[in-house]
Amino acid sequence: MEGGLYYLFLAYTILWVINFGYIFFLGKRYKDVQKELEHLEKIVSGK
Amino acid sequence: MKEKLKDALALVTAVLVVSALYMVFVYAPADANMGNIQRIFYFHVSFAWTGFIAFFGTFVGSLMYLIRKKRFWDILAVSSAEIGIAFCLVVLTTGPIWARPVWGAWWTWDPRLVTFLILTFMFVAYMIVRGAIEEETKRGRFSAVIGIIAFLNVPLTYVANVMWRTIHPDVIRPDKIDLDPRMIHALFMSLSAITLLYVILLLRRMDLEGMRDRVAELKKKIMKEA
Amino acid sequence: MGNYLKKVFLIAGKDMRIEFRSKEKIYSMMLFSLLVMVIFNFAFEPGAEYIKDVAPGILWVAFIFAASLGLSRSFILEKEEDCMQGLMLSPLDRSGIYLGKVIGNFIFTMTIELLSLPFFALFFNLSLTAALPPLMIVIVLATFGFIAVGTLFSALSVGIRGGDMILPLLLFPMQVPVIIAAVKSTGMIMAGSGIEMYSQWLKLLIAFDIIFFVASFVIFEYLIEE
Repeated sequence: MEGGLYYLFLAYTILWVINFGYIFFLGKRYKDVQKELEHLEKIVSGK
Repeated sequence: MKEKLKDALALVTAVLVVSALYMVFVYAPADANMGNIQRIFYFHVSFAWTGFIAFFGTFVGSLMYLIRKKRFWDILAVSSAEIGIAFCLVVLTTGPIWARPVWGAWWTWDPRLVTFLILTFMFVAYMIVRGAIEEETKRGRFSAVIGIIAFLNVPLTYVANVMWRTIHPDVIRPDKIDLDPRMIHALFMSLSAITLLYVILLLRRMDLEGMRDRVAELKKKIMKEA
Repeated sequence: MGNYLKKVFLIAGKDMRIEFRSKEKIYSMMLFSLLVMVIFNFAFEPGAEYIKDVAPGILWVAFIFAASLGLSRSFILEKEEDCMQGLMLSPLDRSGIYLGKVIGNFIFTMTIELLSLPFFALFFNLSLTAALPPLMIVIVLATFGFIAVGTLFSALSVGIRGGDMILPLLLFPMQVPVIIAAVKSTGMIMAGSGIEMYSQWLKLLIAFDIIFFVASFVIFEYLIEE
């Protein structure tokens, strides 16, 4: 039973690490592109 | 308005995930044979189903892209594939963690697990191919071909592995679980939570791809003016 | 229809004439196939009895590796000399190009496999004469399935930078059902089992052949759209 709990929590920990890892990775790319987009829009409208 | 809708959707997802976790750990009873370890089942299965749906989304997107040639379908295909890989990663790690205490081995050549592994390999190759092609329409066409062919291979890979197992009889039957009605509730709750998670991630990922297109467009425009 | 087939065989004939004349590809595929058999042999104890159990696996790894080596070159010449433009200008629709390439690759790969078979019997001390007729069925079915998908992916990989490295990534996961079916039925045939023992595997191979031949035939024209 004790061993079972260890594996159970290991599974759910890894599950959320992968998920939040992906969400974080997605958010980071999103922000980078957003910043680049704003920068470019400023250049275009400045001309 | 659209952003607000997405925020609301994210909130609903968060609520669903928390309730699913509550149901998985508190509401549902421990399995009679496997004990608490069986609680991996709910999220493992949910991610597996949703991961499969994600690759199905890539299949549909690829098919529609070849027919309609609209960038939208290509965006759908690539976004769905990326989330599918992430979800399959969850399936492929929680599966062995479940197998270890129950069957005494990390990896078992269970037909479902093998099918997911092969599927993941195929879609990683799909992403590699995408990365190797610069030109947009060519990238769309080439990757659509892979998206379709890889998905068609799923039933055959599964059947081949089932037949392979029956010839090497083993005692592994992961589907032999006595399902208490509360277990079924917990399963449906996690299934809907993860499906919604897939939906919001997909929308976000598709937005990202659209913004990248816009960046490329603006860069071209600036280059022309300069 | 007869006209169409005549043009298809013209393409297949042209490919085979090039390969049988230059012989470079025959020699390298043949040598490669033999090398795989020899190298794999060192993984096991010399003269061990169980070598007979793993021999079918080694045979198919040798075949599949040699075939993918050949496939990786299938469209290179067309690309290097810009012959693809010529082929596409010819009064034959694109599915015909695919068909011609499949026939050429199939006959060519079969030749290599039949030439390596006696060496396989020699290296592993097997008598294959009795098993030869049913073994031929397996070899034809498995090779055709491999070539049907392989030709499509070969055309895809020449259009990508670093494509020769990507081709095996696409090919090997796709071939999992073929490899399992071919290895299993070859093992049973060599053990002297009757057809009722492995007819299931033959059915799987036939299903694979049909699904992927039809799918590739339809999809091919989207691949070379320039």
